[in-house]
Amino acid sequence: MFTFNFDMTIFLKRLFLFLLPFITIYLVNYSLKKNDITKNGEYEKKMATIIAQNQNLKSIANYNDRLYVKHLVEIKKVPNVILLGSSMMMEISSEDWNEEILNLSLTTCMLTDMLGIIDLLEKNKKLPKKIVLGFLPTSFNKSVEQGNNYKSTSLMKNYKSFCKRLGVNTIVSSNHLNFFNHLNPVVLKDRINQLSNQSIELPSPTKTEANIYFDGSKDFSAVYDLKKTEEVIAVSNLSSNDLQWTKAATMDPKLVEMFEKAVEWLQAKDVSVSIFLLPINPIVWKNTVAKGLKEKYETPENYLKSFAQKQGIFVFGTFNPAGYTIADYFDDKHLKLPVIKGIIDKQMPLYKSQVTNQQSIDYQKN
Amino acid sequence: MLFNSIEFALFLPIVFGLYWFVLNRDLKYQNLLLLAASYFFYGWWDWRFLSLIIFSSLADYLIGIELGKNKKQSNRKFLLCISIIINLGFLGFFKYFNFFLDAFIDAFSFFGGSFEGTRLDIILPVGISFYTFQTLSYSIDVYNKKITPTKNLIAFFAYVSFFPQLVAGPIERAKNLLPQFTQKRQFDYMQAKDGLRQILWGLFKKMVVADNCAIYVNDIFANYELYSGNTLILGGVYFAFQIYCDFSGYSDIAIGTSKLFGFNLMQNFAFPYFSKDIAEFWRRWHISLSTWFRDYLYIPLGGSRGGTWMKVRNTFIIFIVSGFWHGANWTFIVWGALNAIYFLPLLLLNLNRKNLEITAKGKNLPSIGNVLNMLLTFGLTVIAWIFFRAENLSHALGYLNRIILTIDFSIPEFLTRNIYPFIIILIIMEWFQRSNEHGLEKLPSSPWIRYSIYYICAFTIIMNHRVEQSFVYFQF
Repeated sequence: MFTFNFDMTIFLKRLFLFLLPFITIYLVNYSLKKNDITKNGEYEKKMATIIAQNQNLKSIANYNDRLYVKHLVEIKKVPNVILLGSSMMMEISSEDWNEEILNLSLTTCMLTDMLGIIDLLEKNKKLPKKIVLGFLPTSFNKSVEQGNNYKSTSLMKNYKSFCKRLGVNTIVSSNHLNFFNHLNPVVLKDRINQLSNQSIELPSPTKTEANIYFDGSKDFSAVYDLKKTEEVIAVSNLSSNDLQWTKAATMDPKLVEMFEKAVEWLQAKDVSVSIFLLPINPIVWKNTVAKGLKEKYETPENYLKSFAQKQGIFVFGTFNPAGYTIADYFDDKHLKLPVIKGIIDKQMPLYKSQVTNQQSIDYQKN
Repeated sequence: MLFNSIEFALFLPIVFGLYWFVLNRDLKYQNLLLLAASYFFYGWWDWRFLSLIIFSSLADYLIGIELGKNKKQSNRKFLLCISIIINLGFLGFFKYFNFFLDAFIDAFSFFGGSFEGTRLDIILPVGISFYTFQTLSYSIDVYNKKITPTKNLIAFFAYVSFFPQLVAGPIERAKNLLPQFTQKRQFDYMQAKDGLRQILWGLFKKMVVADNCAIYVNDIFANYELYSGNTLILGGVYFAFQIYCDFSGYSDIAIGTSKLFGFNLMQNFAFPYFSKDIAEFWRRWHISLSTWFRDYLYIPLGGSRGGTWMKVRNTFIIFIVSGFWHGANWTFIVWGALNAIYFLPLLLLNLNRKNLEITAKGKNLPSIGNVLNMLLTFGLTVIAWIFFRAENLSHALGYLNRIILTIDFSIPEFLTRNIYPFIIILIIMEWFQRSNEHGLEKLPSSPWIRYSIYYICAFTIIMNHRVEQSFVYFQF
């Protein structure tokens, strides 16, 4: 047992030397407690503790948002309304919603993430009275590439457990199994930056920086306000070639089944479900429509609206950007907060008339 | 379990460690480990279908022994028939049941009748087309007395289910692979090093070229009505590289992984896009399947002996069956027939064995004539690949029709730097390695250059890979 001949010794030695740079990157990733490799999540736990104490965080960057949300749900008092969506919805605060909310939106939030969070809420006996689910045209697509680098699997266990609860088979997005992302030098660089300053408040701004408020909402405007309209147009044009949205053509039937069962489950628990859709950047929309690929947006929207009608679910907004201009956007995807607030304000009376048990509190960011 | 997944990245070193460091003194235990690892590897996808492999292996193992003992020709023929029925029965049920049912219903209604048939919701077990052909070839070889049947149950089961090539080949013959399970294996540094290089090259082809091409191919084929003829041609070219890099990448990883365990598998691809005619292309493309059909179908049918009619018939049979092997869809049948049409003039003019040597042997660059021949051959394969990739025949014909109607001199969409630099790297590397087995086999002796190539490959994979995708040939 455990015998090494000369050939094997040389082979292992050389293989080890070849792999050393990769192992080093991997170990650095690990030691800097990022993404999936991190199991302790001290950084994210500390963030969650601060938010749970109703304080705000300034200039946060490069954290595992799934892990942070996991800790946050465990320790924070949950209000009546929870928002679950992607970065498109991240900025919505209690003030914007005119009601106390907890915004648990995540970068590139997929249905699997939403189900994971719902499981967390159930396990912590914190199911709210109302849940607002924000969808992207790609939300029912099995594999979306956007945001691979920062996507983690921290909610996977909860997602699987929730699927078991619903009696449906899990679908593992291939994004979650992506080994090599952990070795991405860009991620590594960000992490080295973070290592240089172990405090929660990072002094120098980075492109992923955000302020996080006590209600979970995030504020990107410090970074995005600097962006000129020309830059937004350039980015929008670029993304129309990117196929990012147009790949959303196929709605995975298993994900659809999961979603429907999850909604039925929530409604059986007396949780009111609403759906939130935000308009696509008009240039991206125009380019996609010009290619005759409008159904990439229409198929998921029509499905969501018809399902909502069947289930008595309120739907905010639409993917269609009619009436919006490029000046309403930060970049190729994200709407500016006042525009989102406009959508909320316009539909809130109708929403309130449909969804009962509203509470009105004065909510100001500290 | 996919080769390009984190599970496999953990699985391989564990099996390698147990194989060489813990069980290296006893061949039987090594084989047992390979068998367990192979079943684990397969069961990771769906453990229920392990029963099929076990049953198929047991049946052919027992039939092999009986064939060895039995001298009476009629009994031997009967035993062979049982093996064929079992193997082709599994394949026919899981892969072709619904196809034949639909064809039967269509044929019935064509003649004015009506027939109610229930389509079954059948899952196609991964790799069934590969391992059934492998076990079938064993029984046929034993029947033809080309090999003696093995009594080593573990070795035979491990041969059928050997995990590197279980789900997508190469389809190994018992004559080559089975004896390797019964010989003491010694770790060989050169073999293992070559195996790792081949794995690296296979990963590059799969994760960088094939997966990147797939994104554009999927979009172009799904929305072909919206693109110009030039873009559709580019879509066909991208698919040609996708299917090649996907499948030959898989074969490279399979062969490379086998080398780590001291096994030598047959070469499955020999740089087919450098072929100067279709006959050469088919000697270089999916060699293990082509030779399987040649040995077990084409030659028993009479091969290219006999009259012209016989040649034409046999050529069409082998190509159409080969197409049908890929799946229960008319697109594959037309793809096979189209290749037969390409091949036939060469056969009838006795030019099918004209290009047996590698292109521009001993030279750095090909002649203009060679380039034109290679481009023509590649062009013909691209047309055939359109049928292979299309969802159905009307999709393929619509795609080709749109190419003809809308072709112009504009630059196609999606001629993107996300892809073409990698295709150029692929072509250059494979061109200079075309007399070898894979793209990284013979490298300059300077360690600086060699390691630079390794790191460039590895970092290109890390930086440019796309979402982990299954291998195209898994569906077959």
